Amino acid sequence: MRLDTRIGAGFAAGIVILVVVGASAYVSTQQLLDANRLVRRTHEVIEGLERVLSVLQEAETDQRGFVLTGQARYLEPYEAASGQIQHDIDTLADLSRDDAAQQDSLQQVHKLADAKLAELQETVQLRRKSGLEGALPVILTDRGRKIMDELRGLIARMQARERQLLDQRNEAASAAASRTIETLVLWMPLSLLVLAVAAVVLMRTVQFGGPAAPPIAPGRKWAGVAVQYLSAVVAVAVAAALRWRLLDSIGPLPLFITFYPAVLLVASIGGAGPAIMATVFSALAADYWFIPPYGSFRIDAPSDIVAVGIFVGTNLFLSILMERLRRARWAEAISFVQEQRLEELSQLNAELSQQSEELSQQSEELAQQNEELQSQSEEIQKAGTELRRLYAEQQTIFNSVPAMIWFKDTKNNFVRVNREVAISVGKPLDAIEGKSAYEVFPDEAEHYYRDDLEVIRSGQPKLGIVEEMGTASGEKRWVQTDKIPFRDERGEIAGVLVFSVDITERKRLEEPLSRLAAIVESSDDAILSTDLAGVIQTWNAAAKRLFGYRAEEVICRPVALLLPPEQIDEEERILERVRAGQRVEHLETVRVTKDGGRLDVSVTVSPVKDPQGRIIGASKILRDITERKRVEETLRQTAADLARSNKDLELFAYVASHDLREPLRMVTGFMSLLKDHCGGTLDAKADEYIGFAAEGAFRMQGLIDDLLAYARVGRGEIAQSTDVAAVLDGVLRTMAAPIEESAAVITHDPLPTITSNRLELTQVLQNLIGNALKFRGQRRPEIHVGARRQADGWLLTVRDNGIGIDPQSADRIFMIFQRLHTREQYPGTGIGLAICKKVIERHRGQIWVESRPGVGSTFCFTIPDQGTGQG
Amino acid sequence: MKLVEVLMIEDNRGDVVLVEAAIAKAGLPYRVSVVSDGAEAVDFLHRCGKYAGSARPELILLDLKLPRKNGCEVLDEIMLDPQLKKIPLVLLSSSTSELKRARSYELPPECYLEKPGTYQGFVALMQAVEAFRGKAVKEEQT
Repeated sequence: MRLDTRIGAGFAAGIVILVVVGASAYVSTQQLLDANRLVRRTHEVIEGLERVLSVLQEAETDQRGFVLTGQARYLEPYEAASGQIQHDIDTLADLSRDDAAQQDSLQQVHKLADAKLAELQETVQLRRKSGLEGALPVILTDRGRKIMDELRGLIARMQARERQLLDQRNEAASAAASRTIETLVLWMPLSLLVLAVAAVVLMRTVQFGGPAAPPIAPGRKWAGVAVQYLSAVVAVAVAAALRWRLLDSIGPLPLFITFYPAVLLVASIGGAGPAIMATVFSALAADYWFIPPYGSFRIDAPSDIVAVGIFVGTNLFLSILMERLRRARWAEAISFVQEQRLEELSQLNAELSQQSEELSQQSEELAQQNEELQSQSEEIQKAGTELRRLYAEQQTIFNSVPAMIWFKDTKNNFVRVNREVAISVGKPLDAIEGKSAYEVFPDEAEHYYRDDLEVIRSGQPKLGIVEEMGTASGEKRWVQTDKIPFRDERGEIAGVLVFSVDITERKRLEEPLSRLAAIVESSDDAILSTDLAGVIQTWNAAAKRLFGYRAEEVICRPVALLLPPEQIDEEERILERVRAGQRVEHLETVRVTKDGGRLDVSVTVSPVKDPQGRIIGASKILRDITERKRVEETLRQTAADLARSNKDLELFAYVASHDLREPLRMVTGFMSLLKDHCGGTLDAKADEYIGFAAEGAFRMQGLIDDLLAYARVGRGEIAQSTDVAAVLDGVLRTMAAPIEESAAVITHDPLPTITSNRLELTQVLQNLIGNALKFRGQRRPEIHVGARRQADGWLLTVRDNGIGIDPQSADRIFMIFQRLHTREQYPGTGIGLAICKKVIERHRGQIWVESRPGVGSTFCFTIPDQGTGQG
Repeated sequence: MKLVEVLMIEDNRGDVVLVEAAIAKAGLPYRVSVVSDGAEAVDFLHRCGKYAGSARPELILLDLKLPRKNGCEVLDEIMLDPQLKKIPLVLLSSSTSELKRARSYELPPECYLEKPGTYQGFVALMQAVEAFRGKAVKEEQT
C-alpha cells in the first residue's frame, strides 16, 4: 500500500468516525428538545381546559348575580366570557391537533360551552323582559346545572388523558436526555480511541526521522513561518464569519462546522504549529460567540464542554498527523532526490571506468606503435640496403635496355644518358652527360629541341616520332623516339625523358607489308578479317564504301552485324569451314549495310594463319554483285519473255498452218474435180485458168507444209549423242534417187560424234546436200562433208562446186521463204536454209556460207560441245 | 447387184461430195448414208430414234474430227459392241498427226487414211477402201 493511500485511508477513517459521532449526538439532542416541547404543550392543554371551566363558572355566577339583583354591572364578566372561551378553545384545538380523541372531546366541550352560554343568555333576556319572576322558572329547571356538571366531567376526563400523555412524554424526554449523554460520554471516548488506534497504526506505517523542516534559506524560513501563522489567523477569522452567516440557516448545533475545514487547511499549509494555534483560536471564538451564554468565555452545558473538548482533541491530533505527513513526504522527496543523485553517481562511475579502460587501451596502442616504430626503423635500414640494390639494378637495366635513353633538362642539356647512347654517338658517357645538345649534335640539336619544347610547354608526351639520326659510323639510322615530360617532386617540368629505338631493320621488313596493306586498302573489293569467333579485326576503305561503317565502328564487333537476320547462321557455317582450314569461294549471298540496305555480294573467305601455321582467323573478300545480279535478273526475264513469245509464235505457226490446210484441201480437191468434170467442155483459156488456180493452191499447200516443218524445229532434245557419219549415211540413203540422177560424187572427212538433236542434224544435212544437188552448174556435182575440231565444239562444212552465191546475198539466203532464183529455174519455197539456221542456232552454233559464184559454195556450221557454257 | 450399205460419218459437206464423186467415178456399188456428227452416228449404229429402221452398214467411213462426239469416241462405242466391231471401218483425217494418235486402236494399217488434196486422190482412196473391204469380208467368211 502506498504511503499516500495509507494516510488517506487513516484520515478517512477518522473523519467518518467523527461524522458518525457528531451526527448521532445531533440526533439525540434534537430528540431531547422535541420531547421537552411536547411536555410543555401538555401542560398548556391542562391549563387551557382549567381556564375554560373557570370562565364558564364565572359567567354563571355573574348571570345569577344579575338575575337576582338586576344590576347591569354583573353582566360585564359574562359578556367577556363568550369571547374568552372561543379564544381558549381555538388555542386548545391547535395544541392538541395531533390527538384525534382530544379533538373530538374538544368539539363536545365547545358545544356544551355554547349551550351553557345560550342558557345564560336566555335567562338574562328573560330577566330583562319579565324580571326575576320571568327568569326564575327557567333557572329552577336546573338545566344550567346539568350542562355545567356534564362539562365539568368532560374536562376532567380530558385533563386525565393529558396527564397520562404528560407522563409518557416526560419519560421519553428523560430517555432522550440519557441517550444524548450516553452518546457523548460513552461513544465519544470510544471513537477517540478508534482514531487513536488508527493514528498509531498510521504513524507506525509512516517513516519518521526525516529532516525537521524543508531545507530553506533562514530568511525565507522566517518569512514562510510568518505567512503560515498569519494564514492561521485569517482562516479562523473567515471560519468564524462563515459560521455567523450560517447560524440563521442551520442553527447553532454543528458548532464547529466551519472551523474543522479551516484548521485542516491551516494544518496542510503550515503544519502543526499554525494548526494548533488555529485550533485554540477557533475554540475561543466558538466559545465566545456561539456557546451560551453568548458574549462570554464561560460554558454552562456539559455537552458544550464535551464538544469543545472533542474539537480541540481531534484537531490537535490532526495537526500532529499532518505535521508527520509533511515530514514523511519530505523524506520521500529527499530520498527520491538522493536516489537520483546515486544514479547519476553510478553513471559517472561507469563513465569514469570506461575512460580508464580507454586510457589503458591507448596505452596499449602506444605500446604497439612503439613496436611498429621499432620495426619501421628496422625496415628503413632494410630499405636502405634494398635501395642501394635497386639503384644498382636500375643502373644495369638503364644501360642494358636496347634503346637510347636521354634525360635532358629544359635548356637542351643532357643530364644523363645510357650506354646505348654513348655507343650510338661514339663518345664516352662523360663527354655527353652535362653537355649541351649543341655540342654533341651541332646540326640536329635545334631540331630535337623543338620537339622538347613542345613537350615542356604542353606537359604531354610526344610519342612515335620517326626520324633519321646520324651515328658515329656516319651511317644514317631510322629511330622511333618517345619524349615524355619529367616532373620534379613539386610537379613542375624539370626536363624531358627521351627514348629512342633503332627501327631501321623493322622499317626495312615492314616495307613490303605496308605495300600489301596499301594494296588491300586501295582494293575495289571490301576486304576484312575476323578472328575465329567472327569478330572483325581489320576493315579496308572499300568495306567502308560498301557497307557504310567506318573502321572504328565495326572493329571488335561481330561480323554477324553484316548478315541479314534470316541468314544469321551462315557466318557460323563459314567459320566452321575456316577452322577446318578450308576456303569458301565466290559464295553468292546477301549482306546488310549500315543503313539497312541489302547487298548482293560474292564472298570469298580464306583462313588466316600465324607464323606457326595455326589458323587464327579468316580473311574475307566481298564483291558487290548487286549490279551483276540485276543484269542477270533482267537477262533472265528477257530470256523468259523471249521464250514465251517464241513459244507463242511456234504455236501460232503450227495452228495456222494446220488449220489452213483444211480449206486449202477443199480448193485443191474441187479444182481437180472441176477439171475432171468439165475437162474438154470448156475452152483452152478456162483450162489454163483452172490450172493457175490449182497450182497456186498447191504452192500454198507447200508453203504451209514448210512453215509447219519450220515451226516444228526446236521441240526435240538437243543433248543426244549423234554420230554424224551415221546421220550422213541416212541422208544419202534417203536422197539416193536425186544423187543417182545427178551422178554426184559425195565424199567426207572422218566424222565425229557430237551432241545434238539427231533428227534436226539430219534435216540440216539433207537441206544442205539437197541444195548442193539442186544448185549444181554444168559440171558433175562434187560434194564434200568436212569436220574440224575447234576449241569448244565442231565445225562442219558442206562444200560443193555448184553455181555459187553472190556474197551480197549471203545473209538473205538464211531468211525464211527468201529465194534468189525463180521457181521456174529452181523449184522450192526457200524454207530449207531457214530451217538449218534455226536448228544450228538452237544448238548455240553459227551457220554461214563462203562462196564464189560460179566456183562453188561452202556452207559452214558449228555445233558447240553441249553441256559446257550452258549454265 | 446388191448394193453395199456404207455409213459415212463426216461433217464436211465438201468431202462428202468428193467421196460420192470418187465412188461414182470408180464405179463402186455403194449406197452411202451420211451422218454429220458423232452422236448421230452412234444413234444410227444402234438404230435409235429416227434411225430405228435404218440398214446395218457393211462399211464405215469415220472422220476423226467431228462435232458433238469426235471420231475416237464413236470408235470407242463401236469397239464395245461385238457386232459393230466386226464391220470393216476406215478412219479418215486431213491431219497425219491425228491419224498417228488414233493408231492406238490397233486397227489394220490400211484403215488409217489421209484425206487427199485432189479428186483423183479421192478416187484412188476409194479404190483402196474397196480393196480393204473386200479383204475383210473374205476374212470374215473364212
